[in-house]
Amino acid sequence: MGFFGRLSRRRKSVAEVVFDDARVSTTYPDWVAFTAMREACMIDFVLLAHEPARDRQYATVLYRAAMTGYTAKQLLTALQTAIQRCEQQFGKIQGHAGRLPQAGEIAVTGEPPDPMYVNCARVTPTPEGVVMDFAFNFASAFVSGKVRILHRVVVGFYLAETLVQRMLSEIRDHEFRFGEIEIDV
Amino acid sequence: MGFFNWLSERMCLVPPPVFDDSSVSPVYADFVHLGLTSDSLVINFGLLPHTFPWGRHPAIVLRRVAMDFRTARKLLAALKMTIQEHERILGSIGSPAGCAAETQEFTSSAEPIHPTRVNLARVTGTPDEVVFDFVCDWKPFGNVKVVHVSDRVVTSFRTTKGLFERIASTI
Repeated sequence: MGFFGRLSRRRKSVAEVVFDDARVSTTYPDWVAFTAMREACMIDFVLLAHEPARDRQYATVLYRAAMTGYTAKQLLTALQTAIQRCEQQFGKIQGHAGRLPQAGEIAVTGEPPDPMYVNCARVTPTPEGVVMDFAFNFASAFVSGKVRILHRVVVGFYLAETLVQRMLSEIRDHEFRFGEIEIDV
Repeated sequence: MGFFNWLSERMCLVPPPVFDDSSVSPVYADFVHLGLTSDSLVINFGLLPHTFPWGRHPAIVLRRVAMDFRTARKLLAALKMTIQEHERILGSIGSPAGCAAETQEFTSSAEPIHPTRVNLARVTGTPDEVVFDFVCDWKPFGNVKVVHVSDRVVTSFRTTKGLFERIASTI
């Protein structure tokens, strides 16, 4: 049993956590990027703008969430469950995989925001999309109490599917290099 | 009795403060860089260069805190205790990260980051991460029960081990 496997026995699940969503700010991105690093993973929620004269896209990073591989994998599972439910009702959802603009085709405007660390993510499916609540549980989910939601991101199912595909490929690479991330044993 | 012994005794009589973190957001950092002045230690928390889908970003400093050497020594003791406890329960952390040669070159963000002066630091080790809460307690001897957290930085244990070794060698 690995490190995260030992931890998973001591955690509370997201369903057991009571969230406090008072005064939470919400972001509605239209693109998303996932980066797996050695120690953590980062999700960039981005607003894209197209300039037809130069045929160039501009990206503004609206919100940047940093999390451990454990949290990322939990989020991935929750997203997959939400999408699966939607597909059962409305049919197959196609993601945008492979259509992400390359580094030369896109320019980032402004300074990206500071990466906000989260260790708790709740996914709520709605008929029109997925609501992701990112929170930092200071007690690391071992004790009861309200957890303040730091940020809320609302995405459509297409973008959620894109995020899932990006996460799957990045986490697969990460596990190949650094070993498996265990979330349940 | 020396001044600092007298000071320590006085501070022991004051009940521990309650940390108010309702208005602070945790920032993730994966490197630390130390600066030294004649009377304070400056810790820069930042992000290493990473390749994002839009290209490679240079290392940047996200938070900068300055503290006197007494606070730095207390922080060092807290770090040592946190690392030892983590390694006792969950095994070895491994080699330290987030310092040394890889962070030699970093750039600040567009606007210069002014250091936050702090005189109280709380270190909390959870199984996944280490949470640093920095506070400027401007009435340390009063009956103030609540102190407001000015900066909260979260790092991994490997980065924390790097910070511990850097502070220990610097002091």
